[in-house]
Amino acid sequence: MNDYMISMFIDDELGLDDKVEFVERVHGDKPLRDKTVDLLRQEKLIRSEVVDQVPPVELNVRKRLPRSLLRPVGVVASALAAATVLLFLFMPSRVSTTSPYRFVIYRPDARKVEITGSFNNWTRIPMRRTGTRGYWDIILDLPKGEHRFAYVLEGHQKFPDPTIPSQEEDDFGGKNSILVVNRTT
Amino acid sequence: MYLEGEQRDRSVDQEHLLMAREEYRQLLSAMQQLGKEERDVLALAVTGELSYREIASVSGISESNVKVKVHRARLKLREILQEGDV
Repeated sequence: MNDYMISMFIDDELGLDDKVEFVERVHGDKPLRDKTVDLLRQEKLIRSEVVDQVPPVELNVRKRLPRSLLRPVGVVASALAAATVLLFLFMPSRVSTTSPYRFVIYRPDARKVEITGSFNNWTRIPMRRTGTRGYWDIILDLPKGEHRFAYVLEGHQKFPDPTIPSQEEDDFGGKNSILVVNRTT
Repeated sequence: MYLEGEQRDRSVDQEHLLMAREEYRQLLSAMQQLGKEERDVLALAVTGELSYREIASVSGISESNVKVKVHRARLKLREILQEGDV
């Protein structure tokens, strides 16, 4: 069995026969089982959206921590990477000063999700529910450069994009995501 | 006594909150240590939005290559986190 079947299992890329084979192997192979459980726990953390699921730490507690602990450092490159890759999804055929960027957020129980950011003077724009799997999305034309944005749940609960590592605190105790668009087409 | 218990619970909650945030910080830091390509394919995979075939189409590599790269990225992330070098 190829080692990468663990990831295929995590990403639901296995057919039923492969799933049977994988489960049988995992049951009979303790190192494989341990590795699979490790990676599943890691994946849970990656997808946990910790930052916006938990309330902010109270000010008196936060003050005792070095600022660097609460804000990832040197993460602009990561946002740049994600943005660059996703831009290929919406490659326009003509030259323009902006490029379309698709924002996606998973909120299955939400009734209303909006996006607000520096690219539109922080005006809230409603996002649309895509399909029935709990995702909301919107495509916006963004100019090249660095943008701050956040989502707004049910009209009042503001939270950053959990899939973009680069974030910064705003002036109101919340957080914004930092998205770098480095190319237009 | 009630207040003391309530304060203790609150303190425990704060501790858990800080631990959760620290764990998340370590994860973000570990992701910065991945190569750009590894980070890209992993980022696309963990959203659960795109299949491997779609990721291959987006990133210009073969589907079998996506399988390998996504898995290697996960293993490398695990190694970085286990070594505690974050």
